[in-house]
Amino acid sequence: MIQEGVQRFAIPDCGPRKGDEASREVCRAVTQVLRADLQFENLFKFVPQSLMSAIPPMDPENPNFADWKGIGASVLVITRAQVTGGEATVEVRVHFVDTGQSMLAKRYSGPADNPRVFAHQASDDVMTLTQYRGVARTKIAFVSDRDRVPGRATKEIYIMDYDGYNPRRVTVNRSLNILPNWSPDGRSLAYVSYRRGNPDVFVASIYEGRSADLTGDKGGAAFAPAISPDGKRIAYASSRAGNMDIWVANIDGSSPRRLTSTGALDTAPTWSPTGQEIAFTSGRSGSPQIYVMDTEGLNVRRLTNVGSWNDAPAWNPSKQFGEIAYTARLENRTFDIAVVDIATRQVRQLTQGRGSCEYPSWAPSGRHLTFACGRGGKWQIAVADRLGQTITMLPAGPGKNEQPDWGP
Amino acid sequence: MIGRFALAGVVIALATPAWAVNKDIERLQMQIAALQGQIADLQRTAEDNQREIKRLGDTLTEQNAFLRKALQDRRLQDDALQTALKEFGDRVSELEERLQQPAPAAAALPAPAAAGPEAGGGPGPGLAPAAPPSRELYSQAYADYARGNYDLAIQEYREYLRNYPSTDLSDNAQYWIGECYFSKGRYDDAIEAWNQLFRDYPASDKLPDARYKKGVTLERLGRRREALVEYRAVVERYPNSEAGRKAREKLNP
Repeated sequence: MIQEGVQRFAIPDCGPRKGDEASREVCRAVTQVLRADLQFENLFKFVPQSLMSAIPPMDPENPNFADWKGIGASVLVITRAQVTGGEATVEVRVHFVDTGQSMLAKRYSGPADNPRVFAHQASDDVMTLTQYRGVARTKIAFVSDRDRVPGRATKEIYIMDYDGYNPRRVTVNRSLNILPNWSPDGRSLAYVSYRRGNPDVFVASIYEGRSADLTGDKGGAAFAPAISPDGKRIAYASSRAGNMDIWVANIDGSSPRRLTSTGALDTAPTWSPTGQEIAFTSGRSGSPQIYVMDTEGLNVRRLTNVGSWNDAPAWNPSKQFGEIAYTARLENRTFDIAVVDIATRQVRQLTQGRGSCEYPSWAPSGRHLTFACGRGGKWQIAVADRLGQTITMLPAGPGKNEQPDWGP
Repeated sequence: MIGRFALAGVVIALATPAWAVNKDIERLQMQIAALQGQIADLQRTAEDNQREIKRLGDTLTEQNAFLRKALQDRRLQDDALQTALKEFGDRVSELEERLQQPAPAAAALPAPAAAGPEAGGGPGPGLAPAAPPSRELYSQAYADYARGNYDLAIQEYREYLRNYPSTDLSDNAQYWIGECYFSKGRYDDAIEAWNQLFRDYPASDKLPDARYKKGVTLERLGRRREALVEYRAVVERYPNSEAGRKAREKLNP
């Protein structure tokens, strides 16, 4: 088991098994993406490249561990690649430098046109040596107006790799499609669509390319779907009883039950990792604040006491971290991402001075989160570690990109 | 009504004997004319009266609607006030508890009302142990409940109750023990925990929720008739609570 914060990784350049440009190109991509992936995990230290180039060239099949020990490396990650007829084969080996012991040896093959996939797979395999689940193959769903139709308010749902690459469109209906939420198995996305004029909750089976309307026959407007951690239930806000309340239904939309009925606006439900509680936004005390209740809609407690406007709660899906990220208006007119400890109610502010940042969503491991930041009409998606020490804006492509939801 | 009686009078008048002289007829005709005038007056008055009655009726309807709305608003305000009051009470008792702690801890007290966001991460090293043991224990118990460590949470809530049997959070701790057992699927123990809440904290603000949850738990045990008794009790005792509304729904699905 690799321990957090202790190991110093050396990831030398990938060694192509053949001298052709295609093999070298795959190698370059694998080196670059694997380094970025493992750095993003925020668990290890790394030997700087300047030190790695100071030691004699390595024979990948027979590394001189003493050299690596000499520059302070404790874990050595060796990668090799070759391309034959458009098919790439990538190998990764992980050694403890101290003993030379091999901890992991994997070989991947597939089409050579997207070598990032091999690096992501390798990163997640390295992460199996830790107690955490890797983030490299996770996807982020988001909303963008990049394919808008002139003269119409159109936004569609897209998914992309966690690092912002390979965006793909999920909805194609030339209306407003917003607030995506992943199912825990990563096969479906719940979202709100205005395709029939009225906002309703849909669930898209992204690999089958179809969407089911969950709330269209119930009347009223429906918003902010959130699928339960076991994938069997879905919470959302609906005005079908006259006022915007939190409802919970089976994942196919059947047997809806109303959980809240204060007469105030209740919305933005998010499930606790055990599925026993739901946090949500309510205006019952005058300004929007975050509340927590059980799945019967009882035992309601107010969670946030700081800030005049707190909305869009996202419960950290890891049981290890009892915390909820949310959109907060703290001192000034802009919004920032804040995180509240559900037990002590202590608040930490994650963003500052980036315009407004909204709609936080956690990675499945709960060790990172995503949100959208913008000024004026320019909105882009950011990712950060859970303490907000490193915040990176993703290359999410053209248009206004917002409301990210981090999925499996 | 008045008009018809007057006409009956006219018919009787016309039926007087034939020996009546022209003068009499003339007088009668004058009387008829006078009566007709009176009838018209009476009809006008009747219509006026009806209009007045309708107007009064309309005013009354309006006033009723207004009163109903005012009452509704008032109820909403009461709910909001109660929520605010409860939150205020919670904060006060939390502060009281903190202030009761020894001086070093009190010195490190992060004023909750003004507690701005700690820019760029967690509290400073000196702030970490600021929460007094009672609050800390209670928080820890909930943290463990949220993690799904129900057994540990039950132990911690019990520990809390042993040390602090009569704070503003004691009834909550007892309620949570029921919640922990419920989440574990230990329904009999959950019911027992809530029964103990009813016995030990008869003034608890958790009673409506606990009694409703006891009903839900009984249903899960297949004891539907007993569950209905609980729902009925919730409706009767706490008709305006969230639990009351849910119980009504259970009774009239």
